[in-house]
Amino acid sequence: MESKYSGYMGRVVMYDLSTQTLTDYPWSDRERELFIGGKTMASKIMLDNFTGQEKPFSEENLIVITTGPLTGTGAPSSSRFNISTLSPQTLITTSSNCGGRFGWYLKKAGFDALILKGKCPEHSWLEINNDKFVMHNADDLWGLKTGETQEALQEKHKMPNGKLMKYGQLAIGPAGENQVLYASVISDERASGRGGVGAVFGWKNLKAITVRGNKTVPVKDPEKTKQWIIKWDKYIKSHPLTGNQLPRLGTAGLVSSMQMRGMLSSKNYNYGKYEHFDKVNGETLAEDFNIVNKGCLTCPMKCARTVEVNGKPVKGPELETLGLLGGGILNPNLADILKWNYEIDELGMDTISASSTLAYAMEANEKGLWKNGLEFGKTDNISQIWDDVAHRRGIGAELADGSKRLSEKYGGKEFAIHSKGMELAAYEPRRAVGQGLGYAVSNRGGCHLNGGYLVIVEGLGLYTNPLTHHAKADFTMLFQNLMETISASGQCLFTSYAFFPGFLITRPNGVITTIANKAIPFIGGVLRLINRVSPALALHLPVFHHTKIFSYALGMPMTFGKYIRTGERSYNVERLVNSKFGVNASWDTLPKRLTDTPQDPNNPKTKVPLETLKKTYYKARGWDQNGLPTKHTLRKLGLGEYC
Amino acid sequence: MINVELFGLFRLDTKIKGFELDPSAEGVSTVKDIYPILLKKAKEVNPATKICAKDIDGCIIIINGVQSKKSAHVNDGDKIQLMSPVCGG
Repeated sequence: MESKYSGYMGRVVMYDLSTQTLTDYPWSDRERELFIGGKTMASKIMLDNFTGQEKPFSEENLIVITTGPLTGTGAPSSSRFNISTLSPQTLITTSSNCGGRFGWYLKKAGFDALILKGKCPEHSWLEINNDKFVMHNADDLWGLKTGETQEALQEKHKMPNGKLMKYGQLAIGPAGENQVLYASVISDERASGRGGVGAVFGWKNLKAITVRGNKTVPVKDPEKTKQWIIKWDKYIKSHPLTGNQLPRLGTAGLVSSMQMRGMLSSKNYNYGKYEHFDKVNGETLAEDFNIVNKGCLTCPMKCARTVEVNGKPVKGPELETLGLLGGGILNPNLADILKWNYEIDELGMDTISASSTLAYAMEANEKGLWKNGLEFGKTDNISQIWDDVAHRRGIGAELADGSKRLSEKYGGKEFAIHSKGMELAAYEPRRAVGQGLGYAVSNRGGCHLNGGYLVIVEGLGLYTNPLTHHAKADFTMLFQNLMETISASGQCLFTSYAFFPGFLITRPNGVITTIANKAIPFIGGVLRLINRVSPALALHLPVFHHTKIFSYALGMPMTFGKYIRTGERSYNVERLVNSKFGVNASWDTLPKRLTDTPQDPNNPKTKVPLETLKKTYYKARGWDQNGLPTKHTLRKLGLGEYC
Repeated sequence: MINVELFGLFRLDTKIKGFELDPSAEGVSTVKDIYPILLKKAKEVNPATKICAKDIDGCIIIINGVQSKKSAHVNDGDKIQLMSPVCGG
């Protein structure tokens, strides 16, 4: 269905892996206005196709691969694509966002989204060349690691003159083939890591997808778009966070800051500090290991690290992996983390869930609940453990199911650090209680980003009181909504960090910053009002370039208020999908270690006051006490048909 | 002695991980008094360093694990951590 809006290719297709048939999936301009693209579009498709009876490993489960309308327009950091599916890890929806080239090439092939259903009758890989979909036998690829698979695919994409075609690719590794519940999908070096999307690929016998095409993404007003992108790029590059810190230290630069705030999870979240943090932080990574910075297509930040492992340049670890495989398991050896990060990616697993599950197992062993031989600080056998997990061998077969299921089997639920079955990132929420709320209510489970990433005002970018519950629920909702729309548009969430005026960041001790930090807990009411009447904010903010690009590149009217409301709709659609699978307030939880045990025994405030926060959050969201959107809320968001 | 540690881009820009100083000998009574000493050391280590007083003035200050101001008094035995702003994750 062609669109009046630019940025879109105008086609959403559904491909049946069982029958190898391709059909167009109806997607109207009204839906483009309401749901934009990316994870929101995927949620809407899942909402309309799932009854609540589907199982993750079933032919009925869908894999929904979506792009955003800005993907391919040249907008900053807009090469993202999204994979959504019913997660085998959480048994609810997961959306996993990824950089790399795949999304851009999917649009060049003429598609805004690709929906996969059914199951390949044999090990297969899918080749997409414009409208042509060809399924190939993948017996020769089965068993290969993600890098090896992608290298093998390169051989299949050489032209007669030996030159490589231009294409995008996705691949799973052994973990996906063996349905490790947190298996990832890898695209080039980037990972669609969270929620076990790779396991669903594996169950469906789908080893890889390649895509290429020769179409061009339409842009409404090329000149205005170009000028706006130049201005935006310049702003991002001049901002102290997105223009300096992220390019030079990457996300790894957070380790030291988190340590100083008591937010760096250590020994499976027993503590918020790690005594050897300086051996595994971003500074040491940059000084001793980083070879070069690397970025996704059209990204001015280039936050990725390239490091050397066994003489080969490979992707370096992000903050989450450094935290969880450093202090999380009491390992002070950075070289080991680089190696393990590479190995986990190659095997096709989520580094966060893999690391946190390992930490749980170490603590369960220490407490005598599960004699598995794993010990904090004992790291000589970890590479073998990863391989065993990916191939479901020995204790690896059990670790492959994640910390939630292990704690149900062996005990220790209070220290299985997950929410809804998905393990948390390295941010210790007892020193950032708003982040704790975010982890708990996040639609895909224990995700720091889907949770609103409140740590950025609770100690990283700004330093408002991290232990108060005041205003945190309203801030969480606002940030979640903003990030939903950024993600739906195909952009990287990191572009939002430039939202904070630079002087607040570079003058942490300045008068205005001090006032801002002190005032934030008292502006909950103002934020509530903004959230409630957001469409009335028919304006563009000078620090938020994301709205005007909609008019210039897509020809779609957008304001800051509409942007927030779109994100709110997105969050509610995802919640509606989850509610079909039983999600309600009882699912929005954290392990008792984080809610009942103060991090500092002398400071009872150093725990997450989750029930208080949830109550305010549900009210702010217009949800009932059971954590579900009310009819009024759904109608307000244009979702009345789902009442 | 006071133990000063640098983190974030300060550390990359100055190429200094940390140093010790004697507050009475150096005339240091507040955090702010450390800044010119740090700047001098940075220029000694790397004369081409781009770090300037304004950058240092914008650092996050942690004294013995507690966020503090540049006007905070420092005492013998203190551990002072200076860090450039960060984000991302």
